[in-house]
Amino acid sequence: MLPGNAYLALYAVFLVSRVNGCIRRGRQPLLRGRQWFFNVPVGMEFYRGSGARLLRGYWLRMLVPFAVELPVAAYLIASGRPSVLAWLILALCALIHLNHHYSVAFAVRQARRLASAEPQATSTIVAPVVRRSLNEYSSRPAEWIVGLSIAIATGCLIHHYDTSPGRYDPRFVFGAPVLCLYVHIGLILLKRYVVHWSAPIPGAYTSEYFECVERTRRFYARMVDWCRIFFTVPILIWPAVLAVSASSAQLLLQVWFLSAMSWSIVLALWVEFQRKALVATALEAPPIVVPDPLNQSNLAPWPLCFQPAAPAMILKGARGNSLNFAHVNVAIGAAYLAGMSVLVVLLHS
Amino acid sequence: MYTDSRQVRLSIDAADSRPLYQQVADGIRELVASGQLAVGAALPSVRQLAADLSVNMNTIATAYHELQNDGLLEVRHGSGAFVASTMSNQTEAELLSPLRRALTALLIADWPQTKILALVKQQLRQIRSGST
Repeated sequence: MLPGNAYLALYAVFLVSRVNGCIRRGRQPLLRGRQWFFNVPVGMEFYRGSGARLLRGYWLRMLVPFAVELPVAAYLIASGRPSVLAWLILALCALIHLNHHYSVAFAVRQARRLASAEPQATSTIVAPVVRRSLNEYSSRPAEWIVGLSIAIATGCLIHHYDTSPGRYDPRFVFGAPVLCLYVHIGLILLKRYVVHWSAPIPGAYTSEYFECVERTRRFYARMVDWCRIFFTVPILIWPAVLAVSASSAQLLLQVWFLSAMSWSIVLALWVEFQRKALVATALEAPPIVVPDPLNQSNLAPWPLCFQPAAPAMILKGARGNSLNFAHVNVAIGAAYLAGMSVLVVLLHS
Repeated sequence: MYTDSRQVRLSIDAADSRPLYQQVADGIRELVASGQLAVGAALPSVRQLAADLSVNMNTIATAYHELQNDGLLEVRHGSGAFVASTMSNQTEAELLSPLRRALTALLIADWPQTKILALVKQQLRQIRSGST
C-alpha cells in the first residue's frame, strides 16, 4: 500500500497534466480558422453573433468534470481517504472523454443549424482490401519482453508463496499482480478494438484521409502498448517487494512510484506531441461528407440500439451516437467490466 | 507515410445503379484481374470490410458468397477469405453472355463500331492497370 501523500501527489500530477488537454480541446472548434466551427463551415460574422454563445457553451461544458471532481476530491482528502483518489482518477478518465465526446457532438449539431454552406460531399467510399491484425501493429521483440517478464514474475511469485507457507495470504501475494494482469488483458482488448476501428474514407482526398486514419490508428495502438508496459512493471517488481525486508520494500515501492510518475509525465508529453502531428495531418484533408449506405440515422435511436448486421459498435443516429448492443465488443466489454468488479470485490474482502 | 501498404483499395459509389454487394464483388474481381490481389492473398474479414465501407455485413457476406461460387474466393473456416484462383470456373458461354449483352446495348444506342472497340480497349487497359 502506498502512503497517503503518494495519492495526493498522483492527483496533483493528474490535475496539472490536464491543463494542456483543456487548452487543446478549447481550441478544437477553431482549428480550421474562424470560418469553421469544428468541421462546419460558418460565415465571417458567426463568432460575433450566435457563434460566440455556442463557443462559450462548449467551453463551459468542458469544465463539467472539474465541477464534479473538486467537491469529491476535497471530501476524500478531508475525510482522510486519499487512496480512493486513485479510483476517482480512473472514473474521471472515462468522464472526461465521454463529456468531451458529448460536448463536441452537441456543439456541432447546434452549429449545423447556423452553417453558411453545405460541406463538400462525395458519393464514393473507399476501403483498403488488406486484413488488419494485431501483429501488424505490434513489435515482436517488445511483445516477447513483456510476455517473458510476466512469466518470470509469475514463476517467482509461485516459488515465493510455496517456500513460505502460512506466512502470506494468497490474495496479498497474488492480488496486485493479478489486478495488473487483468488491466493488461483489458489493454490488449482495447488494442484489438483500435486495430479494427474504422472510419469511412471518402472518394475525394483519399490519400490524405488514409494517412490520417492510419496515423491515428498507429498512435493509439502505440499508446496502448506504452500503458501495457506501464502495468507490466508492477508485476515485475512485486516479487522483489515480497522478498526484501519491510523497510526495503517501502523504499522499493517509493522508487517505483516516483519512476511511474516521471514515466507518466514523459508519456503525457509524448502524447501531446503526437496529437499535434495528428492534428496537422488531419487539417490537410478538408471535411467531406460521405454517404451512409447503412442508413444509421434510421437504424440507431439514441443512446442504445440492437443491430446484429451493423458492423460498428457505435452507430451515428439522428440524435447522436448509439451503442450497438448486438456488437461483439459490447459483450466482451461488459464481461470484462463484470470480471473486474468480481476481482476487486474478491481482493478487497 | 502509411498509405503505400494500403494501395489495394476497393470503392463503392452510392450513385451507382448496381446493388452494393455487386459493386463489392465486381471491385474484388477487378483487383484480382489486374494482379493487385494475387492467388493466396488474404481478404479482410466480413466485419472489417463492412465497417470500412459503412455497409451492412450481409452485403459483404453476399459478395464473398458470389465470388466463392465463381471460384475466385476460398473461405477457410477460422482463417477467413483468400483469393483462390485467378481463373473463373464459369463456362465460356457464361463469361461471354454479359459481354454480348453490353455490346448489344451499345449497338442499340447507335454507337459506331470503332467507338465500341476503342471503348473495349480502354476499359481493358484500365482494368489491367488497376485504375478506375
